[in-house]
Amino acid sequence: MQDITYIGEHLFHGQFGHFLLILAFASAIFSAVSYYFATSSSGVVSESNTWRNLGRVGFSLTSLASIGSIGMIFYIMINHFYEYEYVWSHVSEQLPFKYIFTAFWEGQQGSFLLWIFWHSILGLIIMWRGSKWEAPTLAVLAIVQAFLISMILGIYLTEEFRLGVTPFALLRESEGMSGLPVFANANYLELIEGKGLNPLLQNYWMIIHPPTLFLGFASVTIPFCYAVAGFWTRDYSGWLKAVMPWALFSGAILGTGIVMGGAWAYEALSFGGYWAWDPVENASLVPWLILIAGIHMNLVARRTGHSIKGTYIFYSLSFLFVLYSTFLTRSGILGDSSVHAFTEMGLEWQLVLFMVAFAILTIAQYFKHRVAVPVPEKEEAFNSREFWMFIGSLVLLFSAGLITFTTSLPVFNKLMDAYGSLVGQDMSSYHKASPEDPIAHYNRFQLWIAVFIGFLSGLAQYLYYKEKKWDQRKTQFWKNIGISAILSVVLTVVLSLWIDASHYSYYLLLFSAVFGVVANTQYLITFLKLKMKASAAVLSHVGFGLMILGVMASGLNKSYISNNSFAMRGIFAPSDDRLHQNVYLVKGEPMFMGGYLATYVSDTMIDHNRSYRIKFDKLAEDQKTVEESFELEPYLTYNMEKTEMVNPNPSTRRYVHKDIFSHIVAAPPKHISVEAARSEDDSLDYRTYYMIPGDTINIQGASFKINNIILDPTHPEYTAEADDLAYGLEIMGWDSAGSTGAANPVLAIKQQRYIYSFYDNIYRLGARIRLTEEGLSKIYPDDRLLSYETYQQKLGDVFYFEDYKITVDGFDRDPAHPSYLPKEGDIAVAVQLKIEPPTGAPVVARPIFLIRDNRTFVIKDYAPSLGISTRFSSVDPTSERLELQIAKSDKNAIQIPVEIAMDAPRDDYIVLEAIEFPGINFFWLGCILMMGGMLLGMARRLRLA
Amino acid sequence: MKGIKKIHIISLVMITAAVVLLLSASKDMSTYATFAEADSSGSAVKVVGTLAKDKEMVYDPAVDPNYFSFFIKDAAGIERKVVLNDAKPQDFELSEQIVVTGKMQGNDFIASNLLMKCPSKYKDQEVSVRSDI
Repeated sequence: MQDITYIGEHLFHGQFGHFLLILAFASAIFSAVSYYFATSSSGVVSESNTWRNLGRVGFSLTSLASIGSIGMIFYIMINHFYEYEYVWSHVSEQLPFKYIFTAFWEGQQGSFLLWIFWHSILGLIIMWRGSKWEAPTLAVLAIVQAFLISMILGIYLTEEFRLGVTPFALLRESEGMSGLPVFANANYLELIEGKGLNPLLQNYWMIIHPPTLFLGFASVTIPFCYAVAGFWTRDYSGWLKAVMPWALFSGAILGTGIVMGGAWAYEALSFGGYWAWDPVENASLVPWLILIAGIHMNLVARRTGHSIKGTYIFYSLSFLFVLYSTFLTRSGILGDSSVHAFTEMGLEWQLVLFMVAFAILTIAQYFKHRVAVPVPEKEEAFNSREFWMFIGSLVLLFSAGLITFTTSLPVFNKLMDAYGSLVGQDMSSYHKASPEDPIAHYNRFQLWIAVFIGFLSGLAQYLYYKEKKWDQRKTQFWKNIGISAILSVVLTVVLSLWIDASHYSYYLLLFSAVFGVVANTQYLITFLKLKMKASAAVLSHVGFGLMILGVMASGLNKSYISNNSFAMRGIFAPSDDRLHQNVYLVKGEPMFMGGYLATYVSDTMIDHNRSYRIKFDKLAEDQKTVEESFELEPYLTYNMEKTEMVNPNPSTRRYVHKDIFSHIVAAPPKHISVEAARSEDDSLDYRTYYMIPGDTINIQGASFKINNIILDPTHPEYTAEADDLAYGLEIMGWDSAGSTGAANPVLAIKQQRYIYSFYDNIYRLGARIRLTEEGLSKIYPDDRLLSYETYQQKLGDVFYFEDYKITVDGFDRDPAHPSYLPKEGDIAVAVQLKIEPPTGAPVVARPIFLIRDNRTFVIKDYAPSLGISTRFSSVDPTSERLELQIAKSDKNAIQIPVEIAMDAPRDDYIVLEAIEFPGINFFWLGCILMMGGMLLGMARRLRLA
Repeated sequence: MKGIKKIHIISLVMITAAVVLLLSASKDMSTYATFAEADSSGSAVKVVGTLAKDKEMVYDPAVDPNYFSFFIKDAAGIERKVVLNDAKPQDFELSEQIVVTGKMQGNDFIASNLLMKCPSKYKDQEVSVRSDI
């Protein structure tokens, strides 16, 4: 292999990109060291400034080099340099440009780079603002950057030992590839094309969700940096103010990123919901919960001096859990036997080292400074705001802990195995698997936490920090709380008419959410006098309450419209209490379900999507009047070759108070894949029948007759092209029970070699009919076997061929004919011959006389229904007589072979799932308010600072 | 009582609550089992197996769009019929490994949940060669 000089590779780009990554890594370390000395020598201003400037150079350089290498990846992706594995794996010729970003962060290295990118931007902002916190925070951030960059470094420290995996690896050198024969060809680049982007990810949410989420992850690092910096510089309370805007920013952005993930799942995936307590979802929720707890601790610490250590711990934990999440989702440990790309990359140890290193740093720092951190003499009082905020933070941490416990089951199993291998015991019988119903499991615990948070968020607003005048205020407090509680009871009763709270715990949750909303709103009106500037916390807490209401309404009141008990009648016993969530719809046959009359109207293929028009008529109480009509268009996405369906996409009708969500859960094999269609068709018992047009044949009590032969046939699956050779039959079928139907099967030969047979069904007879290639030669009789009779005629003449009366009706100087492809410079004339048979309808034949490049050609026309071939073989310019040749095929020769299978399954159905989600907009609105509140709080603090 | 702060009491309460909750949570956890163990346990288990491709697979939406049955062979080599009250998942035949969660009911395993492990279409180590060369 070494001898080959490959053609057309762009090796420079990869080498330069790799060089940039190494430069970024080195300068990150340089920056960390410089900022370290800038911090530790802060007593001597000039020395400290020199180190700080060096740190700035280092951090700028690592940021520029990282961004440069990202630019290089985009460059090689946009130019489709498939010699790079990363490009080959994620890009293809057909990939629309807007998804180039999605393709970039689809891969592990790309998502690490995205994370590094945001760290760079955030770090540069800190540098630009240049406060006293710059040196210590950026020292920490630079180490984090160095660890992250090491993941994509791809340098061999020894022969076996590799640090990171570079995104600039060559395809021909990558694992499992190097030996492939295609690389024996020096010109292999001509032979390969990229694999492209997973169609599941080709969704607009995937353009904005990952950058937002990773900005969220990156921003969690900043409060951690401040926490470490605060302890390090022994300014134990000074950092609490500086970190606040960053923490609020992080809470808002990470929260938004998580919600966007939910929105993507709801709109692009078909599980029918926005949150499934999936381990990957949990992995991003846990750091957010801890961060939110940290923000509350931070507020307490700023106002009272309590909980400084708590703030430190919470911000650090939040960051450590981002690392843990990264480990969980990227190490492949979650899918116990799935081979995740990262496992092969062997980055697990690096991820573990990353976590352990920062955990040690955090803990060491904590114990070093534990005693020095000032703690107020006085304990928090029960009636103080800080006490309940502290409790709230603990509850959030508690929630995060419970989620982590269940999500970490595979890790526990791994640890047990590690222990087992030490003591030589098989531990697999102790392994625990995820809960049978994970959603119910998580909801059961988180419900109580939400109840708690709902009450606290309302109560705590009316309490004061460092409460000293409780005796004067308590009447006021209980009055406010009383009003809120009474209002909330009334509202809860009203809402419970709508929300289907079947259990006391749901009533409690409903009441607590309503109380959170009411108490906060009341606080906004009576205490804040509607001053929006100060309303950040109120907005976020109202948002939380609304979000819970949305979760309850859309979760508890979720109903399957496609629960069609009516259609099941007679098939199952009444005791059958299974959840019927899918319904079978036959094209054109309205089906009654869940108060709607649903009709699968049609399906159309556009690009790589087949969309299904489904009409919903909402019926009034009387089950007759249509109150409202709308259409949903769920669609199936196919692969690039359109040979296989890759993803069903939902379609949702949105109202203010509810959503109607639908997606296709099953479709006939011909809509699933070429292979499935073939295997279904192969399983049928086709028999060949030689049918004479107009004659009737009988098969198993059913009768069939060819009504018509069509030489320019149409079929839903068939796209006619200019040089196709095709025919179709119109076949009638009926039986003695009075069922009738027609089928229009088509056969086409493309590019003179590829045969496509498009079958058609007569569903009422259970018949599927397809045509054969042999039939083509019957349809188009071979001229050598015909004996033509020649006639000399003029325009308007009438003559007889056997019993057929033929009229020379006119000329067509711009003729169209299935066998004629017009060319520049042609002189082509068709003569119109009206042929009237003794019985039946007349047919017009249009044979063509053609002069092309000074040569004459004759294009015959054939009227299959009569079996008559006509030729326009020459014209005498002086006498204006045309030479016409007429021949009739042997009647037996037009016995057309037709393959018919009886008992064929229908293929004009879909299986649909349709779900109503009431109040889902409360969820989205609540989330927006929650995040918006945090952004408002951040903006306010930045303005005050 | 000196030295004991509220935070200590709260921590104690929280830790107790956590232990109680985790103990009750661990009842939710299922265990991996074979069909033989599922037969005897009667509670929900997860069975890991492979699709028995020679046995009948039934999904006829015209009859019932919420009934899908197939046979899988567990690690001990026992084959059982599995019933899933839902539509047949896409690419089911391609699955290399199937994890079903559910209970035995008579001779059938009634699955509440099904997880397939497919050879990922987008990660296979194959270089696609253009067909026209």
